[in-house]
This record gives sequence, C-alpha cells and structure tokens, in this order.
Amino acid sequence: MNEQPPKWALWFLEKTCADSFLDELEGDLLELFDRDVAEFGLPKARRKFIWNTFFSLRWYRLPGFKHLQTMTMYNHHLKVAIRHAAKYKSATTVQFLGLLLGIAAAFYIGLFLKSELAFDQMHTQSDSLYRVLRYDPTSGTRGQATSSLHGATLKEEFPFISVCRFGNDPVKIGEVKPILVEDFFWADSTFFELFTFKFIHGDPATCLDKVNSLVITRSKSLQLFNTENALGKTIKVKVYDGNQEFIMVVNGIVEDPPKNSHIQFSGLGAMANAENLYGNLLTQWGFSWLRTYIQVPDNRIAEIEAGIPTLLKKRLGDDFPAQFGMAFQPFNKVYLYSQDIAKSSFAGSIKNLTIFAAIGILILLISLMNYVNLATARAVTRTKEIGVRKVLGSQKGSIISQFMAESILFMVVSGLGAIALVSFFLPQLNSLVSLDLSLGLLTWSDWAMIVLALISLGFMVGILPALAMAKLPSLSDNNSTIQFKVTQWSLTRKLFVGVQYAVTLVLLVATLVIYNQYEYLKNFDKGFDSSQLLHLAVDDRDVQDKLNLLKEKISQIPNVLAVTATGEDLPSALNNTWDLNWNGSNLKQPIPIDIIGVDQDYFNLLAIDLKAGRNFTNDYIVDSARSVILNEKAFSLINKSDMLGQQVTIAGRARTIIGVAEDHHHTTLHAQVAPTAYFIFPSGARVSPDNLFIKLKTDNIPNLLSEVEEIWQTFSPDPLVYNFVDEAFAAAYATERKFSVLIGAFTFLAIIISIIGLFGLINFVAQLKLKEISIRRILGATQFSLLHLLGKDFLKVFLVALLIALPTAYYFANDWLTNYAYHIELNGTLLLLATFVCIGISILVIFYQLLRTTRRNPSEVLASE
Amino acid sequence: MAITDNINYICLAITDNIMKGTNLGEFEELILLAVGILNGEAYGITVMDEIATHTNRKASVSTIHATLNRLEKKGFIESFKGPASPVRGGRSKRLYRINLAGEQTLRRVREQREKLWNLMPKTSFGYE
Repeated sequence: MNEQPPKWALWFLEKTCADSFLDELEGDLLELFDRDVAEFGLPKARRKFIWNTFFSLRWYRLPGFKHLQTMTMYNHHLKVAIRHAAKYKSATTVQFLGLLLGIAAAFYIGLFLKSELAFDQMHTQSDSLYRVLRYDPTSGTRGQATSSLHGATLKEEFPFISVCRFGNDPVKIGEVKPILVEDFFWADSTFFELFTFKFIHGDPATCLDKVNSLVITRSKSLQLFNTENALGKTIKVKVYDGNQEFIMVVNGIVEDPPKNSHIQFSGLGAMANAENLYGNLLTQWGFSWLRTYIQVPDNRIAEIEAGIPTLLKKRLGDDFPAQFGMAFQPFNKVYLYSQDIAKSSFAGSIKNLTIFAAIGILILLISLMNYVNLATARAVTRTKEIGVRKVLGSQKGSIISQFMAESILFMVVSGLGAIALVSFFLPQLNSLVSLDLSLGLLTWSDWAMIVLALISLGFMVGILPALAMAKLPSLSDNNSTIQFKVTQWSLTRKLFVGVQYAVTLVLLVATLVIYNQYEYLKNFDKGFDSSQLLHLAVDDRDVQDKLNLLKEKISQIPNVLAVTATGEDLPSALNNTWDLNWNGSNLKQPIPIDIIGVDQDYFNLLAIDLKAGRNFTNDYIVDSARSVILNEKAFSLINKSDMLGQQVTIAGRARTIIGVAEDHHHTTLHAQVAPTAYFIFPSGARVSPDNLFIKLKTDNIPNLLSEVEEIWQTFSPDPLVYNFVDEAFAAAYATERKFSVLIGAFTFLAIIISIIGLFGLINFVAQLKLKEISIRRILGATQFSLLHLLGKDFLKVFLVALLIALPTAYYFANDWLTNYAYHIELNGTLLLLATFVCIGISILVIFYQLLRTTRRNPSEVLASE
Repeated sequence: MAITDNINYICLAITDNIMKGTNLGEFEELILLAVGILNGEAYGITVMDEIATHTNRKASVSTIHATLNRLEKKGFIESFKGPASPVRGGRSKRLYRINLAGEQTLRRVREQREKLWNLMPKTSFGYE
C-alpha cells in the first residue's frame, strides 16, 4: 500500500476529532481514499482526502468537547450570558453600540490605509524600479522633469540598468472628427519591460521600437476604431503643440491603467517620433520635459548613487552648477512620499495616512476602554450569580474563563456587526469622501488577521472584568460591601474615563482647526475679484492666433462686462519661471521670477490696482515683450525707489519697468505670492495667452454660455472648455475638504462612543446610589447638589484629561498649520470651545440620568428594602 | 467546578431530551431505512453508497456520520465496534444496527403516510 494521503491532513484530522470518533471517521475516510485512488488516481484522491478532512469538522466531535460535562458547561455559560444580556437591555445595547462603532471606524480606516498602501503595486518589478529626479543639493528641491540626457547618460555609465523615459504631449487622434488625447506620451520602447500593464493585443517587447508605433488603451481603441482589436490599423495623430502630423500604426492594445497607478496614460507613441519632432531633445540637459524611470537589478542602487558626482563632472565639466544633481526615488515611495515634488499629479500623503492610522487606533482604544468600564460596572448586577456559583464550589479559574468567553463572544459579534455595517454603508461613505474602497481589497489572510485580532482583543478586554468578577466573594459575605467595592472609582476606571475624555478633546480641537482652516482658505482674499468670472481654455494653436478676434466677438455679447486674455489659468501652478537681474544688484545668482503673459485689460478686469506707473497700452508694438509690469513682491526685491522707468534684465534681455501691480494669488494658498512679471507677448510663444477670462453680469448663466459657445464654434471644432474661477479655487482645496469631512466624521464617532460610555457608567452609578439619592431628596437636596454628587468624580477626571489633552492638541494643530503659507492663528477660543462642548455634553448626560432617577418617588425606592 | 457542573449537566441533560424530541427528519428517515436494509453491515461508507444508489442523493461521509450520531442519541439505532482491517489504516469500523424503537418509528411513519395517501383524491396528475 504505497499510496498515502498527505501526512499533515491526517495530523489535522487527529487533532480536530475526538478519540471516540476517530476510528469511525479516519477509517471511513481512508477507505474512501483507497477507493478514490483506484478510480481517479493518486493526485485527485489526495485532493479529495484534504477536502473531506476539512469538511469533516463537526462541532460534536471536536476533541475539546470530548467531555460532555465541559461541553454542557460552555452551553450553560453561553445561555447565562445571553440571558443576562437580554435582562439588562439598555446596558447591553450601550456596550454593544460602543464596540460596534469603534470597530467599524477602525475597520474603515484600515480599509483606507490598505487601499493607499496598495497603490502602484501592480508592477511585478516595482521593488527594483526607481524614479530619476532632478535634485538641487543646495536647496533640497526635487523635480520629476528630466532631460533625455539624464536617462541616456545613466544607461551609458551603468549598462546593467534598464531605462525608460516618457514625455507628455497632448495629441489629436483621428481623421474626420479627431479626439483630443491629453494623456498621450512619447515613450521609450522599454516601457512595457519596466512597467506591468496588461496587454490585450500586440507584443509588449517590440510594440514601441519603430517610428510611428502607437499603443492605445482598450477604451481609446473602442472610441477610435469601434473595436477592441485595432492592431495594425493606421491613424492620423496630430501633435497639439507643434502643429505636426504623423500617420501612426497601432502596435499594441493594453488594458486601461488601473486607478491606483501613478502612471496614467491612454496613448503611447514611439520616442523616435519625439526625437524627430524636437531637434534639441537629445542634446540639451536643460530640455527637462521627460519623466525617467530606471530598473536596477540586484540592489545596485547605492553603486549608482555613489557614481553620480563623477558622472556629472565627466559630462558637464568640472565647474558644473552646484544646483545640478540627480536623485533616485524608490518606485514604491512615489505615491506617498512626493509632496514636495511639483506636478506629481498623484500624491498621497504619508502624513495624512499616519494621522488616520492614529485616529483609528485611538477610536478603537476608547471603545475598548468603554467596554471594559461598563463590563466591570456590570459586575454589580451579577453578585448573586457569582455568589451562588462560589457556594456551589466554582473555582476562580472557571469564573474567569466564563467571563472571558463572554467578552470574546461580545467582541466577535460586534466585530462582525461592524464589518456588516461598514460594507452596507460603503457606497455612501465612498461618495462622501470621493474614495473608491471595497471589501475586495482584503485578501483571505487579511480576513484571518481580522478574526484573530477580534479574538485576541476579546481576551484583552475580557481579562479585567473577569478578574473583577472572580474577586467577588461568595454569597455568605455581606452584600452591601460588595456593592461598595464595585462602585468605587478604581484607578483603572479613572484612567480609562480620562483617556476617553482626552482623545475626544484632541479630536474635537483637530476638527475645529481643520474646519476653520478650510473655511479660511475658501474665503481668503485672493487679491483679485473672482466673482462671476468665467474661464475659457484655448488650447488650439490656430485659435490662439486669432485670440484677439475671439475676445472682440465675445466682449460684444450683452451682459459681458469685459474680456481678457492671459497665459495662465486661475488658479495656476505658474510653470514659466525666468531669471531676473538688474544693474547694480549684488546677486550671485539671478532671482527666479514667474512670467505671465497678459493684455491691457487684465488688471482692470480682475480689479487689481496699479500701485505705480501705467498699464500696458493698446498699441502692441510699443509694449510687446519689452515693457514689464512687476508685482509688489518683485518690485520690493529690487529695493530701489527710482526703478520705475528703468531697465531690468529678465531672461537675458533688457526690459523697462512701466508699472507696479498689487500682489495677488495665482496659486492656492499653500504657497505665498511669488515675484511675478507681467508681459504682453504676441501669439506663438510658450508664455503667450492661451486663456480667456470673461467678466459677467448676469443671472442667466446657461443662456450666456450658449451665446459664448455659438461664437466659439465659429472658431474651433473643439468642444468649449470652461469653468468658473470661484469654483476652481474651491476645488483646489478638495484635499482639505476631504480631510476635514473625514476627521469631522471620526470625531463625531468618538464623541458618540464617549457619550455612550458616559451614559452607561452614569446609569450604573445612579442605580447604585439610588437609595442615597432618595434619602437626600427626602431631606431636601436640590437638583444641583445631586448633580454635583453624581458628577464630581467625572469632573475631576475631566480636569486632568484637559491638562493633558489641550497642550497635545495645540502642539499637533500648530504643526499641521505650518503646512500652509497662509493659515489661521491658533487661539484660546478654539480650545475653549472644544472644552465647553465636552463638558456641556457630559453635564447633559448626567442631568438626563438624574432626571430619570428622580422621577421615581423616593418613598417607593426606600420601601422596597 | 465539580458540584455546579454536575448539577448543570443533569438539568441540561433532561431538558436536552425534552427539547430534541423523537421526531424523524426526512433525511434521518432515509438513513434509518438504509441502516435497516444493511442489517448490521451499516457504517459511514455503506450507508453513503446505499443512499447514493437508491435515491441519487450525494451526501458526504461526515454528513452521514452526523446523522447516524443523532439517530443514536435519539435511540433509534445502536452502534458496536466492528473488526479492524488493514484497508482502513488499521482503524476499526463503527457499525450500526436498527433497534426496536427505530423499527417501530419507521413503521409508524409509514402508516401515517399511507393513511394520508388513502385520503388523497384521484387527480388527473396520477398515472394509476
């Protein structure tokens, strides 16, 4: 008999089946196994045996329950637990709800963390991938825009690496009705060697290695060709910026990149095309337009990093600028650790993640403490039960195990309830904070971990109440001393209530600070008038050439007050930075200055005052590119009073300062107003106007929009792209909004849990002091003095919690606010408000409980004894 | 431990019997019949095969075991240890045999069914 079932399965069987049933079960399964070997062969028989083993798990023959008496005892404990829970319904509900909410919050936050950490994990090589960054060692700034030479040089110096570069270039694809594809990239043929995207058709290795090769996503393929398989078809691709056309061949179709990838594209073209397109791409270090990624085998990244200074010296000469450097960011850190990198369109934040993790743990903690508090308080209702048990001979150990089992049961039930709750409300929660979470994120091992965590948490929270119960004396002792002992404020209980208060206070302060900061950002005076301001994006070069005509036409619409053309949207990241210098300056390096192309209507329309000098004149020839208006910030840098009318050097050319404009914000308030220079440029330059701002005075916006659209259509076949500046600024603070909503929601939860806990605890204190309260009332105690009686212990604990929580909250809030160049000042009002909310709620809860107690006639209470 | 648990056990054992009753479920009835048919040769696998051949129902050995266990608790069958055999890894069989209570219950169930069948009017669905 050579064929044997797996040894471990047999072992498992013997461990999970009581001896008295083992002969029958194992014998039968082995007999079946032999039969299966004969019928299906060994592998299938073994599989069937494993299957059978697992599905032979039966409650009645688990070895732990082989003594029927123990089994009966567990049954009995369960029954008592359920009956007790049912008898004290409100207390049970309170205990259950607290745990449920706490676990639900922690579970949801866990889900969120899981999804954030799963970002960019789809690439099989992600551990050996690095992003090449431009790095300025003098200031520490990093940027993802690199030149073609960065990648090429690295490959030459370190032949063992693979390099992939790709650069964004919006294109129009199609013959008759071309589609604008913004996320189109010219990419090296190594793209699919480094990154793992799911290929549908074509060969990943060769799909980009010839001129005019094109790879598109499945959805673009459907949109352009009406089929999923457009392999080998040719199509016209028109480069948006360069007014060039290619006839390209579809060499590959890939699945759309998953949402949680920081590399997003819907079309890729061969890098060879870009090399033809941009003559100096291959030769200039300054042409920083590409993103560069490298794949480094065998962990040799340290070797590369060490070789960078020599490499730069070799390539750029001995006296290369000190600002020039390279850094390598591990691919897995790109999403969470790139806050400082400009134009990282996808940016999670490890800081926020840490905050949420902390909140999750804190909320879970207070709900667990809540449970422990309530469970120990409930010991008083079970003095008789335990007394009888002890008289009949129960040992401490069996009482402890009884209550441990109860806690674990409680924990598992509320844990499952919490998971059900979260999964039920997941769609609503997702839309509230615009996230895309699902339970599908969790693997089997995660679920196993959750169950394990619930059980071990049950152990942890069970131990204190269980010990408290086990300490209760047997029935023969005096009952009143027991009650006294249980109701006394033990140190643990004080500690737990204090921690609850402290956590609630900190969260409350956090919510108030974040909310106030968000409101502050939204309502901040941007320095210009953004009301009723419509923005049109003019991306088409042809239309840009006719921008003045378009502007003229639109300004003729009734209800349009004024129109201006500029090179930057509002808000804008201000992408064009030139050098500023002037005669007599003692600068070693020129100052970087932001450049904005405008027209003569710009300042009037946005209600920006000119502090000195004059506006641009209508006559283009006079002012074009030679005259400059500086903002106050830039003007003050020069720090000379008579500079108006004088010349400064911007980007190597002399320009005359004709005016000084009031400072105003172009970007969101994360950054301060930067030195800015305004020019008039003819169309065709990088900084030429490609936006229209339209000042309206109307209530009938749709009507006006349709009039604008009518005019637009006579200029361009593209759809009209517009937005309101107000809304765009508000949308720029979406992260703050999301953050404040989330923190607010969790604070609310924490408060609810704390209220629940307080409610339950006061309930017991009031019940135990029922007689005392009744006697006091007969003797003429006022409601206030009774309030004092019930609440004074809580007050003491609250004061201690206050002393700890407020400085902590102050410290963290201040730390968070320094992220913003413009932020609210933290003052006592917010802290005071949080304190009052906490104490107000506590007093309300205590007062409510008191009213309930004093509704009963004191004589009735006393007569019952 | 000792005294309380014994008291608990006794109380619960009594309630257990009252609560479970001696009703025969539909599957239990089939298994009980199979045990009767097999006449002393009934154990997990033979019962499973018997059920499979005659009723086309696939039940796992463990389901059969659980039902046999229940039937024994209800007092319809008795089990005894069979001979060990090398085919079963040296494990002996637990064989089941129907007892008087079991047979009586089966007959009672059948009588009840027949009584009800006799009351059934002739319908056009029938083939008789």
